[in-house]
Parts: sequence; structure tokens; C-alpha cells
Amino acid sequence: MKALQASTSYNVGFGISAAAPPPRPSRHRHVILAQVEPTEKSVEIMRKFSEQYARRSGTYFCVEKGVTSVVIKGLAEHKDTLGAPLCPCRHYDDKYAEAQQGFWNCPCVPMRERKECHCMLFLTPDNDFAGQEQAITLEEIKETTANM
Amino acid sequence: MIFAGVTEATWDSLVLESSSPVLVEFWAPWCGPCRMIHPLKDKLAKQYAGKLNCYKVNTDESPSIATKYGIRSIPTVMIFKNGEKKDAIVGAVPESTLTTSIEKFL
Repeated sequence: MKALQASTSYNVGFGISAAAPPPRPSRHRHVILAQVEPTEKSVEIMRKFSEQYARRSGTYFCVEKGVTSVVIKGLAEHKDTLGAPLCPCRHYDDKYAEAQQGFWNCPCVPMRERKECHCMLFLTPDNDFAGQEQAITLEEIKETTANM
Repeated sequence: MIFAGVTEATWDSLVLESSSPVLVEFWAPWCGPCRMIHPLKDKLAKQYAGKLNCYKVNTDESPSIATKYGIRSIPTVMIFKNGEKKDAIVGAVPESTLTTSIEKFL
């Protein structure tokens, strides 16, 4: 447990070694930002998952791909810090307990049961904001979130 | 005009003790739909300048405010008047939904 405690302050005392996130990349440590960039590995995992799940559920990405990109990065950031892709469009009293519980881990229960994604990652074709695409490249994600 | 941020330290003085109605957007950095309504609310802040104060709360930085007001889905817009929460609008809504709510409390 020594390594676990050394990784991030979030892990201390949590006792979930199986789902423990990796330590944050040291290259970010000197950067003072309101938010920490997720690792490219997690962004890629969540990008692929999003494409596959859109196809499987018959849903589409937002016409504004910046929305899609931000959500994918948010899921990746939660995967890095919590060990699970907790929905980034909600406020939780305890993120770590919530990630363990799983209801809001993507794809969340409302999405799986009723195709409801208030994060606007997966939109049914009748949604005003639904685009035509079920694919997004890593380059698109980088481009549309570059000015954040 | 851009939305000024409000934190736990400034919440009471800027929001609860304001003499004008206050619109507060609860947002988070990695929330996609928040990005869609940022420009909309900048526009409203301009449109209602002098009549309505507009602020935003980063729920990651000020979790206790979000918890106190029962924020779940983000974005959520709340309107406060005389220190009381008057209305809450959840999600990326059209401009007309926000203006209808604002007009009720001016």
C-alpha cells in the first residue's frame, strides 16, 4: 500500500488496490492549471469506447464536436484519477465512492436503460444537437480542446 | 463582459447579499454541454447588465456550494433574489428558456 499512498492524495485510505489509478505523469507537476490534462492513453481508450458505444447504441456525436471532445477528456481524466470513467457532467458529494458504486460510470444506467446522456456524448437521432457521425479522431479531440 | 467566478469565500457577499437578482451557472471543466451555454450566458450578462448580476461556480473548486444547493446535473443555472434560490434550470437549454426565467425575477 506504500506505493498507492504515494500516487495521489485521493487514494489515501481508500483501500481499492484493484481499481487504483496510476500516478499522475510527472510532466504535469510543474504546470499550474485549473484542471489536469488526462493521459493520452486514457483519452485513446475513451475515444475508442465512445465510437464503439455510439455504433452499438445507434446514437450519434454532437454536431459541435468540441462537446464530444471535452466529455471524452473528462471521462479519461476520471479514469486516471478515480480508476473509472465517472460522468464528468455531474456533481458528486464523494467522487470516489460514486466511482466505486458505478451508477454514473460511462455508459451510465440512464444511458443503458433509456439512451439518456445529459452530457451530450451519445445523442439519439431525433435530438436537435445530434450530428451524423459516430467517429472522432484523436486529432479532432486535440484541435477542439486546444483553446481550453 | 465575462462571467466572474464566485467561490465559497465570496458566495455570501456576491450572491446572497446582492441587491439585484443574481444568475449563477454551476459548471465543471470537463463538462461538454457547459461549453455550449457559456457564450449564451455571456450574451445574457450583456443584455441584462445593470439589472442582473451573473456569476459562475466551478463545482470542482467549490464543491460545498454545489452540495449545499443540491446540484446534480451540470450545467445547472440558478437564479437568486434577496438571498433565496428562486429557480433552477438544468442542462444546455435554449436562450428563450433562460430569458423566460430571468424576466420573472427582474
